Amino acid sequence: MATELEQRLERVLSAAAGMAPEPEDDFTARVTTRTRHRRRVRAGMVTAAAVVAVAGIATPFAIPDGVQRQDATQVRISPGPPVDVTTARPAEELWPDAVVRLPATLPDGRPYSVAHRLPDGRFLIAPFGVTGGYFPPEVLDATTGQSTKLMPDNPSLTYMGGIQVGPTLAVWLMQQGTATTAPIEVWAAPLSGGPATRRGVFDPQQRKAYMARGYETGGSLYLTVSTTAGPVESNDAATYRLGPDGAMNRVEVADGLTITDYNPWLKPTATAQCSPLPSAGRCVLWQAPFLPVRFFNLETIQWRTPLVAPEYPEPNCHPEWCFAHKDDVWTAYRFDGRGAVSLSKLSGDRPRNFGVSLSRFTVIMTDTSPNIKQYLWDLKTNTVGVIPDSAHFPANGMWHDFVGLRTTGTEIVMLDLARIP
Amino acid sequence: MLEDFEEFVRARSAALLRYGYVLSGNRHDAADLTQEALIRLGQNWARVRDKADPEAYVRTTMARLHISWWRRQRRERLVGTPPERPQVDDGIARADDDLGMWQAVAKLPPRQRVVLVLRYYEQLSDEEIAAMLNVTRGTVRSQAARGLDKLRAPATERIKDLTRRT
Repeated sequence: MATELEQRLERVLSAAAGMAPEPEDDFTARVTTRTRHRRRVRAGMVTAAAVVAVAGIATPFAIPDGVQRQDATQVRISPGPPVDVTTARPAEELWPDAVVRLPATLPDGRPYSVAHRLPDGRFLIAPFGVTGGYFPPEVLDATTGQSTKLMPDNPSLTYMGGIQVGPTLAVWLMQQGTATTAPIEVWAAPLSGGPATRRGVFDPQQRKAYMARGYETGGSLYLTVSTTAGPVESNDAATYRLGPDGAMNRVEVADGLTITDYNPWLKPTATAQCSPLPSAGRCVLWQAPFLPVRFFNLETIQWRTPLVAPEYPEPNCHPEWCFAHKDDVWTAYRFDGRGAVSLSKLSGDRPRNFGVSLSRFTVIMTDTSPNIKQYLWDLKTNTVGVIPDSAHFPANGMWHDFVGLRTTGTEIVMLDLARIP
Repeated sequence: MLEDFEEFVRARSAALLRYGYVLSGNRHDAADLTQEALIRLGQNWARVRDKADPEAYVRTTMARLHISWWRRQRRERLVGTPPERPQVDDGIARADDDLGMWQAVAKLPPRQRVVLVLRYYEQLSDEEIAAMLNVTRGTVRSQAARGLDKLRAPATERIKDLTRRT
């Protein structure tokens, strides 16, 4: 028999459903158009894979029309003996000097995540509301527990997220009003201290900004905006350099690419699709030919195609590191094949890694519900530490320069990656 | 061949948006979840229509997408979608006797939230939820119990608070 709590939960969920938005007029047309597009792209990819299989050619791949042709250059890697993750010690014990303890919430009760330690020792944080809203970044003084706003409250602006830390500026995006089609404002605050200022406004012209990110590099601010999703050949991602007067100068060579995280390299959007199949009970990647990823550096105007090792023909590459796995062994190597390291006994379902911080750290997760295992991997020293799995953000995973270890009632315990020697 | 898919989208999108809203708690994510799940259904329309239940397929996809998107957003530093400002509709507050349950639901970890939505909104059995999320029945029960525990505490606090005020 349902308890009073369960009955109330049923009422609340039903009431919430009644508050859901009605489909927009063009919703059906949008879904069917995008479905047709993805089917066409998939058909092209599968055809290309078949051609490769028949011809018995490893590289270069036959690439469907519309996809930029990229040549992979192969490289031999020699990772040395792998580190057995089952013998890994807790990350907190491995790097005790990097442990940081901060208040669990701000004085007004808002939880937050930590993005960066500022030169003056304070922390750049991203607060979020208890019911799911987000707030623009603030600066937390851990000694007093007080946070300082970087921009004045303005109810007509909605925080879009996407906080990025460049060499001298923290950059984030705001949107005028709550409509997803409203103009996007680029805001930035100096890491050396001082308030945020608006640096430019981009009008998506009544189209929803599917993706938007800003970043500072080489003394300039950049903004990437896309109003369509999809792989590089189909999205409309464009990157703009913001002039001192706020003018948006399009970096045409970078069309279709997007700003990555914390570095000046633009990346192509994903080319693979994942289809959860109820019958199979798991997510299945459809078979597309591997396309070597090509990155573009906004600061040096340079292209980079990471090398591919013959034994790992389909690595997952970031601008600086590539990752690949066979069975329970994971290997990482620098984009040019140097610095190869590996881990073994990474058992579990769907192992994956999340980003690279400070050019040397990544988090590897194996997801065998309900036992999720996470490891912090120092690629520079091939050292691996166990991160406790906590279902409670922010003490979970890696975000910018910090890895969450746990949350107690009063504090967040994190690893400051910049403090790992 | 996509004509009947289009008809399915037209007929079911409102209901699916409601489900997406209960799952995600905000309008933008609800629309994105629904659209992405429908596109994936459309990609596999012939097979799903012939061999499975399209509605169940798309709802399963939405539940799994919600969990994986949440994880990805948190872990991969991607916050590209404009968030909703926190607000509670009067209708929800009334259904809750203003005890803050909707806010408490919003704070649940996504797996617990999905399990509770599937159990108390979709009225699925624990066995059905386990099959849908590819977990054991025991996991469903433990996730549900943890989720309910977390909802119970704020409600009790809120009742105490209201009692103190009166």
